[in-house]
Amino acid sequence: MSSAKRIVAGLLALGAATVALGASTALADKLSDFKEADRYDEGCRTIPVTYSSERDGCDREGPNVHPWCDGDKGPVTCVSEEETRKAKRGVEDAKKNIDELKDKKTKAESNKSNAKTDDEKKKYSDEIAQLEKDIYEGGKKLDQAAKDLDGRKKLVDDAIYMLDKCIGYRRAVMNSFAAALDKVRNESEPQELKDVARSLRGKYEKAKSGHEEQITAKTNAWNNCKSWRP
Amino acid sequence: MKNAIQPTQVEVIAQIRAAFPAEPLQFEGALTGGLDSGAYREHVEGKTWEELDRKYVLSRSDVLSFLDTRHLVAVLPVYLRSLVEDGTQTPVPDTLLLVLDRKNRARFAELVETLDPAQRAAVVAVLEMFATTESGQLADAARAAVERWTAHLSHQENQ
Repeated sequence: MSSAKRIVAGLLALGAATVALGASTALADKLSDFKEADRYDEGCRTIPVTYSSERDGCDREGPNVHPWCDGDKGPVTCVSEEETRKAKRGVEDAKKNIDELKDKKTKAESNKSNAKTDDEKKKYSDEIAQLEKDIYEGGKKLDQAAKDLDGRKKLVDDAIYMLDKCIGYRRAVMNSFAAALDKVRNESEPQELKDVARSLRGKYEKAKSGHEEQITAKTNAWNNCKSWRP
Repeated sequence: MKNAIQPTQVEVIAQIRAAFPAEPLQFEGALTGGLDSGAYREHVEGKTWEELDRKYVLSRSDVLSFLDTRHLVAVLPVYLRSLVEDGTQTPVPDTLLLVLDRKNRARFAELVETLDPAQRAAVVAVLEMFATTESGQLADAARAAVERWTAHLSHQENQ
């Protein structure tokens, strides 16, 4: 073999060794990354940094879940349909009361104009005065009932907004675990990595299932709020 | 159950207390969803279910979706009590009614098997009371859960 050929052969061997060493180092790093993730029982840290987009997604959206889902930022339940009915009924009853009082006043005014004696006129004047007071009080009750109804509307709208946000963040976290689960299922070489991957897979399945159940719970609550909006 | 006399709220709470003794909770290693830096675990550790800060614990009913069965049973009485006392005033029913009626048969059976007869009876009593006193989708969910628990328990008795 000529010296030139020997140099080329030597360089090729060195290149192959470098590639092999690089691959081996990358594998060792990946295994170490997976083992680090497997030290944790739950949460975003169970996703190895090798799965950068899943880990980043979980780290970014995860901290928003509790503030938006636990009621810290606003209501996350609309309680019951009866609360909406009660608020609507309050306004309807107050309006009905005012209408009845106004009818009585009209009748009293008619009676007064037909009254024959001063005593009768005074009786109807007093009645009208009392009815005017009652109508004024009825108006205040109507204002309060209208405020209560607005309050109910606001609570329901706020809860719909909170639940929407909560579901969005929870879904983003669930998707991170679902995507990590898809990836980890394909980790088959070498055996040591496969074993750690199997352990991680169990954790992701539990996380996905838990987040899914929470999404269902909050979606049910969201649907209730939507249908109970005054 | 036509014309059956319903137990009062006080009686059902007493039933929960009798079925779930107030023992210190051991939550080290419990799975709670992993997004709260262990806050729930730290909060409940070493306390009995009667000593827990109800406001905090009820706001965290999401943990029920992540806890393993042993830990779930340990805090279950707090949430059952809320179903009786608070009805739909808190978000607890949204999660608890799903957890008590999981479509996954194995997980449902595991929960039932982990509870003793007095605890199972307490769960059914709570669900019945909730189904009777509330209305709408959540009451329907409670009724469906009662039917499933009753069917499961009678099936067990017949075996």
